[in-house]
Amino acid sequence: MEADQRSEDDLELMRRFQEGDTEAYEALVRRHLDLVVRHARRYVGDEAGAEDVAQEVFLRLFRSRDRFREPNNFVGWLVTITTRIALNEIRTRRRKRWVPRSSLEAEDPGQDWRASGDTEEPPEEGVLRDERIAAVHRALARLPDHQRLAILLQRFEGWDLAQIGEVMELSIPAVKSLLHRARGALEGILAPMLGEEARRS
Amino acid sequence: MILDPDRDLRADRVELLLDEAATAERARPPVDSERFLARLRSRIIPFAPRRQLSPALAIAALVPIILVLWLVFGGFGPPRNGLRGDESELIAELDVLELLAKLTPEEIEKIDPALFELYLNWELIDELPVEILGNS
Repeated sequence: MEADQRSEDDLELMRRFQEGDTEAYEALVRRHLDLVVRHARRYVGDEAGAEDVAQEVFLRLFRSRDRFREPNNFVGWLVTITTRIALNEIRTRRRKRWVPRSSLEAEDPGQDWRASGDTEEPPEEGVLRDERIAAVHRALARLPDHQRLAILLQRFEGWDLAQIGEVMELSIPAVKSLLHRARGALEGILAPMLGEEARRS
Repeated sequence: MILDPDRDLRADRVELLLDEAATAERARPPVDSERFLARLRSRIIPFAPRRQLSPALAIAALVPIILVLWLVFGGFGPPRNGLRGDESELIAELDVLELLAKLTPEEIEKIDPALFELYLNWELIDELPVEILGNS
């Protein structure tokens, strides 16, 4: 119900934006900015790069407003276009042999996933947790693009199978199968880490 | 079929790891939307208002693009010279840039970026350093 209302609001904002209302455009940006940056960061791995991708996504929305034909699935369009631009950014970085802007940045999908300021946690636990989270993101980056997208939308965005299927243009059984294969692949990729943990415990 | 007794344990552990990563992501502070919008506005201004092309001008702009795409892709078929991936993409970019270099920046601005999306799945116009393309 809430999602339907949100979609209707997007539809109305998009309609006003297409009529030239730039405040409606900015309202759409504010409403979906966190989703787009979050999703981009999962691919490019760093905050600055994720915001650059988000800039491109919203610029593309602005420039394509006259020919925008998917207002009914606005969030799906945003996720699709964010994924495409983020993957292009990764390819561009590889082609240009991208140099990190600081020593903390690297072309590593698992490098920028520290949770913010949990000061009550012992430092060593925080370090181990950050290492585990980085390993998960590195493992996700090794999945085929469609498996990765499905699992990100389900586990990180909390989307249901129907929503994922709508964006990926797949039936619900196909999404289930894709997620099953993605989990199997993740288990395989993370097996050395899981084995190491088992030995330690 | 060999049963793996650790399989369920590994699957559960992967689920927990995914939960942990998703929880950490949710703990991050939100993006500063006003700073983001300020940067976005500064990038949007040069592109607004959007000009509408007359049909004749649109067709005129389309002709050289189709020509160069034909030359680059040999009739929209598989990449020539057996090149794949980044190599063929780079050659395509250079060929298109060479052709665009013969147009004035004003002419280039009139080309609808959708044409590039349509044929190259790539918005070259957005990335094009228009300022370096003089009227040669």
